[in-house]
Amino acid sequence: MEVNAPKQLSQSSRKGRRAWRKNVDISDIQEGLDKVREETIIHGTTLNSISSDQLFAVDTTVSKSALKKVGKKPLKVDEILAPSSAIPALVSRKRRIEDEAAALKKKYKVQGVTYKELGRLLPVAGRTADAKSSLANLETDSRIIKHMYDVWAEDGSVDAKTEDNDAKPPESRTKKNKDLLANAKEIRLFETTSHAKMQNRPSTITRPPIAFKESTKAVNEPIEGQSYNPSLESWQELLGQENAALEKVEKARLREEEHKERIERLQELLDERERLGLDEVDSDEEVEASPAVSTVEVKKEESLESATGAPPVPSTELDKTIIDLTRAKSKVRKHKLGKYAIMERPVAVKLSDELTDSLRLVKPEGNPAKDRFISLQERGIIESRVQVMPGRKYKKKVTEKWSYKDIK
Amino acid sequence: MRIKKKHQAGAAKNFITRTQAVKKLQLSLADFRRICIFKGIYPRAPRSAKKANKGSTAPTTFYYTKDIQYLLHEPVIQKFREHKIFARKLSRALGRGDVSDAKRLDENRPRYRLDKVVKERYPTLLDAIRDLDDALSMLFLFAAMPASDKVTARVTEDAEKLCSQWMAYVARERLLRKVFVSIKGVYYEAEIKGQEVVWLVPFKFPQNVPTDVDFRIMSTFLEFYTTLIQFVLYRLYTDAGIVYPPKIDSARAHGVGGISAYVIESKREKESLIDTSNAEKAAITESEMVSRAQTISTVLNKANNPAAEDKAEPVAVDGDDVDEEVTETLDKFTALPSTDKVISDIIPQPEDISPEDAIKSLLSPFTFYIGREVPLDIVELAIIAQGGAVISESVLDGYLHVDTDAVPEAEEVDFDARQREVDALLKKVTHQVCDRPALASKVPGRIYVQPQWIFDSLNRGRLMPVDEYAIGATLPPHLSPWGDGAGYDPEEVEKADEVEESEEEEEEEEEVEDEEDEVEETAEVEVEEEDEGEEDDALQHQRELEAEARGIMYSSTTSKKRKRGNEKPKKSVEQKQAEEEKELRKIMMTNKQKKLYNQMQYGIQKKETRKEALKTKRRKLEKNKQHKKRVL
Repeated sequence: MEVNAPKQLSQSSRKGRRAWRKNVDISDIQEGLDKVREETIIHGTTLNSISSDQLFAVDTTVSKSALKKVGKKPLKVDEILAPSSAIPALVSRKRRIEDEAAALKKKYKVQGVTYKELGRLLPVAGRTADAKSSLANLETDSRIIKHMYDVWAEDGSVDAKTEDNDAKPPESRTKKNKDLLANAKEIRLFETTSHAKMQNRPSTITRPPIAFKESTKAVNEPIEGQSYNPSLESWQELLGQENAALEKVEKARLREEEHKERIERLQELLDERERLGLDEVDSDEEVEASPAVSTVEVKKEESLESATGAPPVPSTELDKTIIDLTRAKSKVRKHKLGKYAIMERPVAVKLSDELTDSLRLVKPEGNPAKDRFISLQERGIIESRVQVMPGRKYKKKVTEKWSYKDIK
Repeated sequence: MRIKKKHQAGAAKNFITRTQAVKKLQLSLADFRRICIFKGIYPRAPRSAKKANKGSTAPTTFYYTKDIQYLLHEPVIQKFREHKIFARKLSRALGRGDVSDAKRLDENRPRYRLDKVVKERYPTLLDAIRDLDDALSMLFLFAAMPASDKVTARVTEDAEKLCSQWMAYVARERLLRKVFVSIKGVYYEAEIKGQEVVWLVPFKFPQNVPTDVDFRIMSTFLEFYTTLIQFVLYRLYTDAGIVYPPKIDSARAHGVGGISAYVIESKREKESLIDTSNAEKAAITESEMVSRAQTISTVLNKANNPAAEDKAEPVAVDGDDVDEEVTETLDKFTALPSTDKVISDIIPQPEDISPEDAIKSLLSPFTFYIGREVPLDIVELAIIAQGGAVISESVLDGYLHVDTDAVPEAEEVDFDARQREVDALLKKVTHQVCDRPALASKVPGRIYVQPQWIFDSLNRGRLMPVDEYAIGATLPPHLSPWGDGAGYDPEEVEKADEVEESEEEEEEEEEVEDEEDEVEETAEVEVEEEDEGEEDDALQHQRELEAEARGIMYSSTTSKKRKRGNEKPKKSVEQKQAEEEKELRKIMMTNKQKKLYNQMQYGIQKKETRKEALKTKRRKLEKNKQHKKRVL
């Protein structure tokens, strides 16, 4: 951008002291300054201060890549991002100090240990603010096995077929460890612990986990309506299902709200009557709330029902199938495993305006990490937990500062 | 008699609460959770929590006491304890400022391996493959995750590496059976050693890391599954005669990555590579240069290496052999050219390829050019697993327009030669996969399809008509190969229909004869049932004798008899009875059972109606077809 001095007025006369001083033509000086500024932007300094051998060089070689480069048009993005000035940008004082410190850290060591190494050790020891030592360990001890071998080899040794020299057996199979193992048997005889080591796996360990859903597959069969380009029927069906589920939740919420409102209203009525000084007995009669059914009572009823409705002795095939079905049903758990209920799957359906028939335009629905986590909970592999943030240990106390004493 | 104390036997002994278990194992809760995941110990639900928890009804998690007892001597737990000690020492050293001490401690830190745990949980390879769904889905999930404070970059890198190794194996061995692109990600099914393995791959979009997911638990699963999958991959690779771990083409990995970066070589090749002289080595490097431009198909098979070619393409070669053998064993009847006098019948010949083999070599004659806008990872795997070759636009771009600043000075890139190579490659292209509403210029001789064509062809096991999937065409719906057919198998129905038709014909023939008998019989049935059976037997005996006299086979008569329509009324009576009985039982049922029964019936009814709808649709279509034929 070029900045010019204000244009000279067509003033014929420069008579008088003021006029003489005011109407000076400085355009040539302005031009010179502009030139110098431009040179400094391009070269860092003025051209005069650069020696000519720095400015010019005689190119005697021809490089193919250079030739190719000449023909290649730079991308617009690169053009925009390229620095427009050779003058380095200004750096704040704080930033400069930080950078210098970082450079120092890179360069120097503490007792022969680099700062980088130290930075890795601190979280392992749990000495950082957000210490997650297990994650830190996973980071340092990669689970990629360097010396692969066949775990399922029948003779328990390295796969005979591979004959790779780098495939080493794990530690326990070396001769030294075998001797140790033999000794261990003797040692066990003189063990002082009260319990003996279990020799075999208990049968309980192989029992499948208690699932919350009927399908215990790790990856459930995909829902047809969730296709990126679904058929109309399957999509409508899925939409209907999700809608029904949401409606149910919404209805329950509305019912609860209504109940709350009603109680509030009654409370208000009661208060008003008290204020007016009406008879208490009267008010009780008029404000008759329907007797709330306690959960205990409901449970009692249910238990009674189940007691009387004990499964009858199977007489026919039909009865048998029904009883089998009830048993199969009972395997699916309804109640939570621990303290908390499992997470609920969010609604995953595209609305009509979001549907596309192009793979390019597809927008994924839901979070895959969350889905996997919920799947683990549904299959009963992990218990559901709720992250509890540690609260404040002591109560906050407000006191007045005693600084007013300082006035003396 | 001794008085039994409460909570000394039964559930109280069989179950143990989590707190008790943690105390017994002398671990922290976090470590306890980790060991449970490693060893496959799940929370349990006693029938009565009150009995199991010594009278307390507070919500608690229970475990089997035996499971916990079994954990007591677990070597990994010992390592956990050692690690706790190490962490304390390290913390102390760092607190004192003894940094060199801390480093020494860290070098000798206790490390644990999960090899034995894997072997214990999965005694055979097949067991491991059966449980691979979860492992693969977890790995693919982490491979797509961004590095954050919860998941480190190294973890995601490792996961990505293993995923690519898995995909390279599936692609090379052509084991992919089903693909389904959903809004959740892409579902794949492969058949590994006779086992169906299903996994879900999230789309390669930046995901946000959810806050309500405990990533300590997820990464513990990942830790175990990483070990598991490596052992599985090692076995699968060695069984297929390939070197594990496969090499990575670093140049490609830097650019597009994915399975295309994997150079898979067979074991024999490795040996031959060692033996080859310098001249041959030079040739190989040259061929590698070529293969760098192509994608996985050529890289995997090493088609440019003539010494290894016979070994490198085992699947394709074997497939051809099988085909030939089959044609030798099954005689094929070819129709004679029909003359004016004799019109020769054309008999439909049995197909000599099983559907699985058909999938394996479905796209084998084709080379696909994949546009830049198409997600390469999904399409590439599907194409190569069906035997096609892949050339990707983005890879070619990277090859032709190398950033000259990034290449060291010593490596002069010959762009003209590269251009020539690429041109030669592009001549092979038969199909172009394109996902744009319109294309400005089309290359003649190429077939343009949208990516869904590849998936649908794989799922159906035959090539879909190309015109439905052309550029700009409204695609047919992408149906799930797992489907909601409700057990409807179109081919099976075809057979059943044939049988029905033949039955109907027979019925028509015999109906006239039996009409009178039927009327009599139906009248009789209601009056005296028991006698009817005897009478029927006698009649049948008489007929059999007559048939024998005429010289008709016994089996044919009986089969006819069974198919005959005159049994229908008898059946209906039985059905009536059964229905009545059902009604009676329904009355006897408790409310709960009744609901359950109704639910069951509803499900069956739904399935049946769906099946019926599909059948009628099919019949309609077939009728239309026939009608068209007649018109023509």
